[in-house]
Amino acid sequence: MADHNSFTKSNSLEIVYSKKGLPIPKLEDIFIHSQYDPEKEAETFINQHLKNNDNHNFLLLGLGFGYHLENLCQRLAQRKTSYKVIVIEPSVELFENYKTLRGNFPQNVEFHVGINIETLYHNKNIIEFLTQKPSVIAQPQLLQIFNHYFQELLTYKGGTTIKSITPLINDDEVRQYFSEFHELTDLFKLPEIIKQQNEILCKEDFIPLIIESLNVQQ
Amino acid sequence: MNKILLINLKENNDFFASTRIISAIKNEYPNSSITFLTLDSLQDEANILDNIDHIITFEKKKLISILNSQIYNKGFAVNLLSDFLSQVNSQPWSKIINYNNDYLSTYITSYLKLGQSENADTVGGVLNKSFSLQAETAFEAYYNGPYTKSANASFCQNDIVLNLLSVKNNLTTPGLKCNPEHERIAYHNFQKLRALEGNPNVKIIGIKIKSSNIETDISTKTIVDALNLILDNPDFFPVILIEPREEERLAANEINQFFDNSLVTIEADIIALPSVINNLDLLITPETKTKQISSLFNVPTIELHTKPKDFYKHFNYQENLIIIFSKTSDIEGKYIYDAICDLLFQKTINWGQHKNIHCFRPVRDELGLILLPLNQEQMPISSEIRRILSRICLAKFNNIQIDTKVHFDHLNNYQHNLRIMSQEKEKLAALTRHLLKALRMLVRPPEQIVNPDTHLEETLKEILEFEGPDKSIAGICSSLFKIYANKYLIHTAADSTNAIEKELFVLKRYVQISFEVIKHFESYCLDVKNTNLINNVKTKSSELRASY
Repeated sequence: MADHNSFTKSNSLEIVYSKKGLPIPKLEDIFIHSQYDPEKEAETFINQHLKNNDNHNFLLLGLGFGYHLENLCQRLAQRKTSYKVIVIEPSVELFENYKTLRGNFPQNVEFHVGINIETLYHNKNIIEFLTQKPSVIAQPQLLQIFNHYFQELLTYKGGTTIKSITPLINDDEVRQYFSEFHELTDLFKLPEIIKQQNEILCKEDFIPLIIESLNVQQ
Repeated sequence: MNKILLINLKENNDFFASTRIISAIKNEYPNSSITFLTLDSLQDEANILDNIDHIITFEKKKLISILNSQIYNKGFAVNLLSDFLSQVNSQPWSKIINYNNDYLSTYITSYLKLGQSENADTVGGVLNKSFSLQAETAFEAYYNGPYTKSANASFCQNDIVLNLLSVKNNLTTPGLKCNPEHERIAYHNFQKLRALEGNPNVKIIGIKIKSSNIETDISTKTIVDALNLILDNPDFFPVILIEPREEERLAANEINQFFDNSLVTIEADIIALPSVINNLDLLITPETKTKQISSLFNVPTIELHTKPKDFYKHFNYQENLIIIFSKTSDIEGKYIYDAICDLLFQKTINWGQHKNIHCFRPVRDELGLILLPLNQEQMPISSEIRRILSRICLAKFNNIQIDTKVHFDHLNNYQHNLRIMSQEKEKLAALTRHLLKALRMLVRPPEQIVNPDTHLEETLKEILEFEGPDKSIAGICSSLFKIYANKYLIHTAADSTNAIEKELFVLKRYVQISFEVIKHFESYCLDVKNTNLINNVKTKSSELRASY
């Protein structure tokens, strides 16, 4: 679930308790949830996001102590349709405290904690999930504290070079085939290249052509 | 056992239309196993198709998302595609039907032919190793070439595919798996509606108010106007059909407000929709899936089109059909009402007076169904004549005899026809000149050839650059030649002289046949013109005699 990276400044986490006795993390002097009623605050926040939104998939940026997540899952469960939530939390320390102090893991939730951005974008589950166009909910305080992390997450550019894509290719034969090209742009131009150069006609593989044709179709 | 793969990867046009192909294959080869390859977004629809043994889905949208978005590593796209292709290529197919003939399906078919299915028979486009489309017959060349981009296709897609498969269209069952419970409820409820009307013979008319694309929707005004006329007739009872989507519910409510919320609205998902349509007496729709299902149950249908799309290729395969095409979303309600009366009561309608719309009706000939114009007075007749004559030419290219009377009778603007035929003959003559020049250049001795590498292209240049298939009948002939000749153009002149010469003689035959068809049409027009003239003279003389 977590790798060894943590993006939290060490020793900056404090735990305080709300008037109702609920634990609240305080990071870099910022309260992550309301000091008075974190559950009520989460309810109002999630209400805003679920208004006119019938998406079944949600990407939660920042977990904190899970008040938003719990409210979101309760509301999604009430819809009686299947749903999935992926949580991306930069701080391992915060997550460990959440587990200890709250320890409430709602159903249909996948946590990705303290993981660097490139690793996140190499995760097949996350890619599958993102292609389903989830609604994104960002925890504002955590967005501010981990600004660089989330900024990188939201502006990341995936690999388009042969060097960056071949390690991700599962099939040995296909990987070998792709590694024969110098640049990916060569690949997308393959139909033209083949028309011009008869000698490569014997390449009995149309995979890149299909990729090209999909682009054309769009 | 025949293992047949039918590739149908289009979102809208052809999904349920391919049911006829599946039924025809099952009828001809009862022991065959049919695998249906479609998009994952159409899995629910695929599940209700009958006679399918396996379904394979392709995650096209996901693949396109990965390719189009900067955030994803393109390696995921490669994995997705290679996993999919491995699945399809894991067994040899005896027959592959590239039903849509689009780029993607053509590449997949070609890939399979180079893999496990090298001995498979194919229908539809397939590329050889030199990226040339292959075609043996005129139908094949037409389907793989000009047909894919033609705006004035003279064949319904199913007819060509059935012809290429050499199977007969004989849909004895709808080819859909209907849920018995849905069937029972729908029948019961429709009987209830008839009883409420106090008229067991009342005709229930379903109106699908939304299409899948806002650009092809019909205006609220049109629907309300048509509903008013339908409601005025005690023999008709309208119901509004919607899909379980909020947008359609809102649209139904908006229309219902014009009628004090008295209209019946039926909401049906794709599983229940066949049972609903089966119980209608007539369907009016701008939407593709609904109309295709009505065709399978042979429910009389009025197709409404606002885009000059390819309804010539994808019209509902049934004779009890009227197509109304308008360039705007506003169609006079009266026109829809007239079409209802025509289809349900065979009432004679003077279609020629229906302005701002083009109306068509399918007519059966030896090749299947063809759309013929009902109000040619209101449409660009040149393209209509070309479309209809090109069908006759293509039949003759394929040595199929066709009774032309049904087609010629529909083209009754004789003066105009003769003028267009004269233009067509000029174009055929021009193509003949190019053809003869090409034959002369082709047999030129090697010492007279300046550049052997480009000689072949120069020889065929004028034919290859001849106008497109939608412009003239000569354009169709040259387009077919392009498909045949394409595979030889990568070779030098010396390698392919004989093959190209053979193809030029095929083109010569097509040109001759086209001339004959045009002459036949001309003499038909002249005969009718003369007969009309004689009749007019006779009438005038009778009138004069009577006046003395």
